[in-house]
Amino acid sequence: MGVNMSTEKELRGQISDLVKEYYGVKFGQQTYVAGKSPVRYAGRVFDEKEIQSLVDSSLDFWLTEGRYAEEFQAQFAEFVGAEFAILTNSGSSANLLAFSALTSELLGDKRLKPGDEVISVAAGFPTTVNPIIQNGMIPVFCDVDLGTYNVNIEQLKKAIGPKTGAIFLAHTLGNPYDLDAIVELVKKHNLWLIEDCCDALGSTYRGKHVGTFGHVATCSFYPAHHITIGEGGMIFTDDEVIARAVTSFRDWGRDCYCHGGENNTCGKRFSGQYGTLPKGYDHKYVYSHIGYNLKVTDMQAAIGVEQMKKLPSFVQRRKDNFKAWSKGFGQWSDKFLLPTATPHSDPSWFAFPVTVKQGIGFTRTELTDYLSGHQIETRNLFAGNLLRQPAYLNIVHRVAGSLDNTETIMNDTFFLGTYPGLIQPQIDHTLKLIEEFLNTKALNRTQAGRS
Amino acid sequence: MESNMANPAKVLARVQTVENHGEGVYSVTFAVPSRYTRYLPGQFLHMTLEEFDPTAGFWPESRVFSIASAPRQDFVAIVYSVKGRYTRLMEQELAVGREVWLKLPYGDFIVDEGLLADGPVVLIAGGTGVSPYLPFLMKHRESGNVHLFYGLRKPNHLLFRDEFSTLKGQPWFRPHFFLEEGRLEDWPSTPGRLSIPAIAEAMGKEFPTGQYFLSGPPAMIRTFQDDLLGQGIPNNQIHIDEWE
Repeated sequence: MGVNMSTEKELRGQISDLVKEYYGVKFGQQTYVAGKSPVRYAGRVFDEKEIQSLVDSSLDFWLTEGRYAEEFQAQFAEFVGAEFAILTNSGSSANLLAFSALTSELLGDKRLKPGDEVISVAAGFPTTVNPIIQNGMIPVFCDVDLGTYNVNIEQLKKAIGPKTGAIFLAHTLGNPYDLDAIVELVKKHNLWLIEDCCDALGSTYRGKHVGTFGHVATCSFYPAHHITIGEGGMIFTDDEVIARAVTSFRDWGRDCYCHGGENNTCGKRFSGQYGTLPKGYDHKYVYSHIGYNLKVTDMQAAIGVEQMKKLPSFVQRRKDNFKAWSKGFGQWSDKFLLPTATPHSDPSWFAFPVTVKQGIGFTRTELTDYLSGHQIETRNLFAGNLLRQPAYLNIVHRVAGSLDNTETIMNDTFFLGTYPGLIQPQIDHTLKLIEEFLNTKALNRTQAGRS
Repeated sequence: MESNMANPAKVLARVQTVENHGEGVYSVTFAVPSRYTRYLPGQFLHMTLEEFDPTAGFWPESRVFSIASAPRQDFVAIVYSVKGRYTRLMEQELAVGREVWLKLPYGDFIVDEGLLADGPVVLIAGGTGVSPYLPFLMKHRESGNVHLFYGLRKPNHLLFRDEFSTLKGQPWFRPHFFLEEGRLEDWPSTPGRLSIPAIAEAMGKEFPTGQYFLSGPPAMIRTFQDDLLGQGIPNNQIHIDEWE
């Protein structure tokens, strides 16, 4: 046994060294050439450590959640300052689980029920809203403010009615919403607050991480996000009961909490009384929620463990890149509405959103087409106006007031990347191209005026 | 309804201190990174003396112990009493510096701070059964109404003497020590065995509204549970630390 273990350790070491060498050969020599290399809006940023960790986990061949998942969850909880962090297979799954957990009977009369109204926005990503519909509740859409791209607080106040059970909002592109106002409303009206932090890991409000103001929060680890494990997400909360419900919904709805490879962790496997099952029915097969299976593999978590170590530097890089864009775009404030951080916040920007102003001689799409033709990636603000999307044309919903700004975002807003892999020469090149585009448009207007 | 635990994790811990209380009762503290000490008062941990290979994943034979220290510190404490093969091995092997694997936290026997708003929280302990209450008792609070009924055979069996000293004079803390033999020097105590009638008498008018937590030998828990029910305390006001 001792000899085998020693050999295994040695082999792991050799494999790890080879992986490091492989990383150097495969990924280590990437250079950027302005005009030839693409400028991505997002992408995975990693070094040999992530691949070594991934391979180390694959050598365990444990496959399902294991030692790396435990470590990743503990690291994440410590970083954001939450009591519980529960790993799942995507940010969208995290939203589904966080929301579904609030329907749990563990929460008694305060749980959300079909028919309840849940306030959100239409200018965002669909899977912030989908869990509301999937759980038989009614989304109520508010407009957003241009510049912060977050919910308009006055509309939000008016949207609250007798059926309102929760507020479910994303911190748009990493910019925290007005948490002072929203937390006050949540307390006043006894609502649940779900913070979708899928684009906001590392953002703070009054010095505290977003996601720690509401009852439960979510995060995404898709490659475009602040850290990545490929496909992955996290639910985090300080509430033990919500954490239990999330875990149960994630794990088929089961009541048992043994991990793989464990039995009778609770010490009551064959003595409990559940539902109308016979007393002592095996706790491993007792189901207290109508659940899903939304777990990840330990190999994904192994990547997360290394990404977490890089997260503080990633957050700083995003802030630096945002500043660089702000400086560059500052000269064109007559043409573009530039993003503004919510007061008291320090965003870990997912992106740099820009709204093209009206009547300046070109459209958002003309500009993004031009940039795309020069290998500069941009993105629209996700779904634009969700209610215009084919899947949502016939959903049961309510709109609180007008969605004028949401319409503007759909038509005129786009964003550029801030991800840590973005470097100053890429930003400079992009700004130069935009300047060329603007000059061309100005020239065209001048020529049109003369003719 | 029983429910899942949220974030249990396995961690390699090092024995930091071992205190022998005599008659086979020991307190042990384990050095653990603070990110693993996120648990709720009343929860327990698993400890194994065997080798555990985290790359293989299968958890070996282990025993469970209530966590007897406040959360969010860089250590966890347990108390154990030598009663069988495993605890005899622990007595032999758990010395300062020894590394062991723990997994934590687990358990639904949670002494919830929120209950303080509803009436008195009544913690009933026999012997080492006082351990799960320590994280709750050591939590800072300005107000509340917490009774601790702690049954002991002899004065030297009193555990957590230092911790109780720090609680002396706290307006929310009402200790009741019952001794079968002798008396305590630093605390008032009642002679005789701890029992539900004795608790009812001490609680007076508060007795029907209490949230009762029972921790100790299985026979004591069963008897006390029956007696509480017999005295009209509803099941949802009785919380037991129960094992197969």
